[in-house]
Amino acid sequence: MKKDFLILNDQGVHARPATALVSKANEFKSNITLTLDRVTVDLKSIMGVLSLGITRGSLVTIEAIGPDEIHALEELEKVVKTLNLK
Amino acid sequence: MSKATIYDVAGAARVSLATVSRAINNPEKVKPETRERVLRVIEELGYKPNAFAKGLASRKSTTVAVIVPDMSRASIAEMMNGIADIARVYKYAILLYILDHEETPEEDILKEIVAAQVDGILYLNDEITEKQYDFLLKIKNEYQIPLVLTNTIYPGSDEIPSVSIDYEKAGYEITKKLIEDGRHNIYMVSTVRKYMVNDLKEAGYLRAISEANLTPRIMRTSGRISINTEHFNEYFKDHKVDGIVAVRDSIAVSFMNVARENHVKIPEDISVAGFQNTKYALLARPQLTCVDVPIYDIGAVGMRLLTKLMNQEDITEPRVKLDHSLVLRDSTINT
Repeated sequence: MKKDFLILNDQGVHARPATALVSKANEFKSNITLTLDRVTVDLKSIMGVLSLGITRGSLVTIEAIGPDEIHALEELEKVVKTLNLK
Repeated sequence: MSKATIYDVAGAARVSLATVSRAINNPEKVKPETRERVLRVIEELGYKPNAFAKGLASRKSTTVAVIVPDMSRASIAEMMNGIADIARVYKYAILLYILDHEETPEEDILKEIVAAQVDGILYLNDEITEKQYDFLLKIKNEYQIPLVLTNTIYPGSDEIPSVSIDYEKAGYEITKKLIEDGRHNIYMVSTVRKYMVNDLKEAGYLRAISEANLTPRIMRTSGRISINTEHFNEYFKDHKVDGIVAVRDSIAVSFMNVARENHVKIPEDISVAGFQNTKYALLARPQLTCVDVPIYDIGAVGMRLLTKLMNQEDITEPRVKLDHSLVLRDSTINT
């Protein structure tokens, strides 16, 4: 199961927002990845996510595969939405 | 209900205290079925091993030492946020050592850190000499304490892993931006003290300047505002300048303030740019164009890299470079 997100906060997916997203991803059993411009990284890896350098205005895809993929994606969407409002 | 103890776990799982301990600390020494039963009971009872007791029993702390040059620098403070967040995720405590306020020589501080039996060291001091690097290598190789250089780099060797941005490339790009502003007398304002990252910024500046057939002009001053303010006033009385690339935001803003006092207009008369994108860049008027260094991320990735080394995981790249970007604001012309 996958979903696209437009990143609209000033920092992009850096700093605390990135840590928040990775921490949330780690709460689930599913394999969860984040893709930007055809580069895919493990959303459970802080080094992977920060190495992408996701800036404001980026379109990213989050994909979850596993037993709790629906719940994982719902929760991650909540985190992304909170971050975008800031 | 009172807090579950190791006795409760042992009783409920029908094993000895030692087995509970091994299931937590040395799982390979316990049969998988037993381990699973113990872990299930731990979860059911909500038992939390005491971190202090754990450290005492195994004679191993879960602590990392963070060595910083000066806590009052905006970049260091933001880097600590990243370090602390990741340390928390991986359950490490931080011991902080600040070099600038210490009378003690750095080598003695490092010896003290080794004696404290820390699990790893994050080294944020960006003034690394060969002698210091050799000493750090000794700690890594003889005492087997993993080390990561965070927002600093030692160009001569990558035996100690590092996390930073490509400072040479960033120096090149920001200088090129000022050349595109139509500037010809561009100064790099660097520090008198020899910082590794500032040397790399200078190298990038020199590459852009020589490509454009301009004359390189490097001014070295102090990071202290009270000193560099006076220095700028004196120095630029008889030096022609129309562009400034400062190695730190705070130095760039200090220059802009001196310019303003002398009725020089920014950016009409002089384009000014800095490094880091700290809050000073936003607080300044005009707001400062600068290289955005993902400083929190550097701290976070440095700490994560260190946790991997402490767990003896393989790392693919000893020199991690994160992306930077240029943030164009009103201190440059930006046509």
